[in-house]
Formats: sequence, structure tokens, C-alpha cells
Amino acid sequence: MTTPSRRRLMRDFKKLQEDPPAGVSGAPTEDNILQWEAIIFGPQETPFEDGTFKLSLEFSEEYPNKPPTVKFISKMFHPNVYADGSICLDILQNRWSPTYDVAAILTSIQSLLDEPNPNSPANSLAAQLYQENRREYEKRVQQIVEQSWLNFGENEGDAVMKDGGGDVDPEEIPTSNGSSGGGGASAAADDDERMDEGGASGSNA
Amino acid sequence: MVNDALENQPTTAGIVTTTEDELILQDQQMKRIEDEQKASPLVGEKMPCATLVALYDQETAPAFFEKANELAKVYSHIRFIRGDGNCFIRAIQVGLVEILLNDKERLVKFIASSKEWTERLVKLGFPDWTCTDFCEFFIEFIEKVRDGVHQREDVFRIFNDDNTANYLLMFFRLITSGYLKEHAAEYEPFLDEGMSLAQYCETEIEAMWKESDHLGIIALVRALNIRIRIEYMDRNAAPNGGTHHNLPDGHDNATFTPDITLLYRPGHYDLIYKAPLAETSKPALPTVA
Repeated sequence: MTTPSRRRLMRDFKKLQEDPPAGVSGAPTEDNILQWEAIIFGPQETPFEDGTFKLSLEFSEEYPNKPPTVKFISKMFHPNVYADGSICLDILQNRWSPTYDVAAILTSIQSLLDEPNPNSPANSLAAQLYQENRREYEKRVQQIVEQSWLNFGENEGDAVMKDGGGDVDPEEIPTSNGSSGGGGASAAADDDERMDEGGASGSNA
Repeated sequence: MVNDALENQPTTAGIVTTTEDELILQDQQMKRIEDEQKASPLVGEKMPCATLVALYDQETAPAFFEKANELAKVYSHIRFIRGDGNCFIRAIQVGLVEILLNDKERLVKFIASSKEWTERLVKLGFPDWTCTDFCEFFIEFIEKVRDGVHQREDVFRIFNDDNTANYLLMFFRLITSGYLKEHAAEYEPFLDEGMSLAQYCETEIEAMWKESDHLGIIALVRALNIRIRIEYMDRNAAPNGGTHHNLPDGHDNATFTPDITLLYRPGHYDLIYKAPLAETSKPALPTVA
């Protein structure tokens, strides 16, 4: 018998395909329904506009009674996102409800992008800049938006080539590096320090 | 600077930030508590009430020892329920399904009302996609009981499988929340000031592992249209100051026959059972002629 969590995840996936919310997509990895990858497009008319941010969602058999662990794989600069990509969002912690599904999670994260809560900072620099120097904040965000395209190209190149088409099929994206999801996330975190230093010159070039 | 501070209402000063280390520590503590809870079954076997008496020492806990002995005169068995914040709802679910296993007519009616609840929840604006999955999952389960696919032992095996059992339990949380929302005008005044009924339902009722308070208890009892009695180990805990409390209110003891009886010990509910009538002749009660 399939477990309730797996059954529910299939249902969530079906809903995402049939009735996809604007600007988000997600799918389980090829070999593990409990491990998902997703993409959130930066909301329009915000500093995050045009960003294509990858995330990993790790579900347990206790889903949906317990929330998944959600992390940005793409580098993020946001008051409520930790250096390792972990997200400080109430609905993923103490305000989780089993009535939320993957679509609800992704759209909540998407709206968090432009509605940060600087009072529970996970990235104190981002929180400080957001409150005190909005121009510099937006400049930093612009850097990670541009980086999101780079990472996207590098990681997804193989999958797109294999398909022989330039169009990115949202269903293909998450499966392409699913097995290395964990490693990818930590590698991205390692990059963080260096990117903070070198990021500025990168965007100037 | 001053202006900035005024504009961004709460300033950053005095904000308690949680470091990652603290978060990890919290997670570890939560995990330990969870592991401790999981050491006991979700739903225990039906045990003689002597097991309850044996939990208390006459010397160190004389009040509880005495009360346990009193209860053991009236009730023959106890079924321990895991203390994970779901115990009230789980006890009701188990107690009710036990009744339905022996009462086909009531089972059929219950299935019909469960299906009605699915529609009522959707009408109330619960997220259709996710809520109906909980409803359907529960209804499938209970229909399998009706069709004999799930026999008694299957039912208890399922009730002891954490993930499946908790999925089934969520249906009861949803109808509790649904009942409160249908009667918002009646129940909202009981909430702490500043909290809306919708917020209360979201954070206290629909969230797993949250203990049921009085509002949650009465709403579930009414949503299921059942009668329950809660026996209090601690006399001070009973809302009416008595040794037990009947729900829904407004029934006197003489006419009240509970479907399900729970034992309340501080912070926790278990199921208790009266001996079947045939067995009550055993204690030396000469009046049972």
C-alpha cells in the first residue's frame, strides 16, 4: 500500500501540473517522490524580477502532517534566508498546516521574496540593508538574480542538450540533478563567502 | 536615523534573533521528546484497570491512588493513548471506530455524515484539493471497515501506524475546525482578545500535535454528534467541580449514557471502559439483582 504521504505528494504533483500557480514549478526527482526540486521565478516589479531560483524540498513520510525541509539551491540574498539556503518562514515551521500543499509552499516563498520580515533575520546583512540602505540591498539582489541565470545554465545544460531543444520543460528541470541535490546545496553554500566578495566585480564586468 | 526608526515601526533593537546553533539545539530537543513519545504505542491494548491503579503509589501519591481505585470499581478496562498532543482526538477516533465495528447501522450513518462533512468543509472554504484528500482517505478507511476488508485487528494495526493513523486523525481535526467555523458567532467570544476564530482554528485545531482545549473538545463532540463522559483523576480539573463531566452539556447523569468515556489525567486523555453487563455481577454488589 502506498503511504499517505506518497499518495498526497502524487496528488500535489498532479495539481501543480494541472493548475500551476504563476511563476513557480516543481516536481519530484526521478527516483524519489520524497525529494523534490522546484523553481521560483522572481516576482515582477520587484528586485527579484527575472530571477530563476532553484529550491530543494525534502519531504518525510510524515508529510503533510509535518512540513518539508525547503532550501534554496540557487544563491539567495534575502533577510529570511540563511547562508545554506534554509528559509525562515513561519508556515514552514510553527504555523505549518497539513492543509498546505506544494503549490501553497512555493507561492508563499515566492511572496516572501518581496515581503521579507526583517524582524527575524536569517541574514543580518540583508536585513540591515533592507531597512537602512534599500539601494544597496537591491544591488545585492540584482547580483543573485544574475547569478541565478548562470547557475541555471551550468546545471541544466546537460538536460536541455539531451532533449535537443532549447525550451526548458519544467518537468525536466528537477530530475536533471536530483541525485546530487544535497551536494549541490552545500556547494552553493560554500560559494557564498566568495561570492559576497567577488560578486560586485562580477556584475561590473 | 530617528525618522527611520519611527517609520519602520518596530526597530531592530531588542529583537531576539535565533542563531542557527539554537535552532539545531531546538530541533534536537524536539527530536528527543518525540522519540520518548514514540516509545509508547499510539493506541495501547485494552488493559484491566488494575494497570492504572498500579501506576500510583499509596504513599507518594495517595490522592491519585485512591481515585484510581475508585475508578477501578466502576470501570473494568483502560486503553492507553500516546501523549503526543493528539490524545483527545485519537481517543475519540479509536473509541468511535470501536463502536462502529460492532454497530453496522451506526457505521452506515457515520459514513454518510463523513461524506456530508467533505462537502461542508469545501463550502466553508477549506482548500479543496488538500482537505478532500484527508476526507477521502478517512472515508475509504471506514468503508473498508464496513465491507469487512478491515477487520478489528487491521483497524488497530492501522491506528498504530504513525503516518496512516495521523492522516486519519487529521480528518477529525478538520471537522472540529469546520464545526467551529460554522458556529463562529457562538464560539468566537471564547477566544483570547485579538485572535480570530480562523487564526485559532489554523494554529490550534488544524495543526497536528496541538492539544485540544475545551473549545476543540466540544466542537469535535458536536461535529460527530456523540456523547462522551470525561472522568477526572484530579477533581479540581473538572469544569463543574465534580468527578466527571458529560458532553454535550445539559444532560443530567441519570439520563446520560455516554458513547465513549475518557479518563483525564493532567494534560492527557486515555480511553476507559465499563465492564460488559454480564461481567458486572462479579464484584460483590448485592443490589444487582
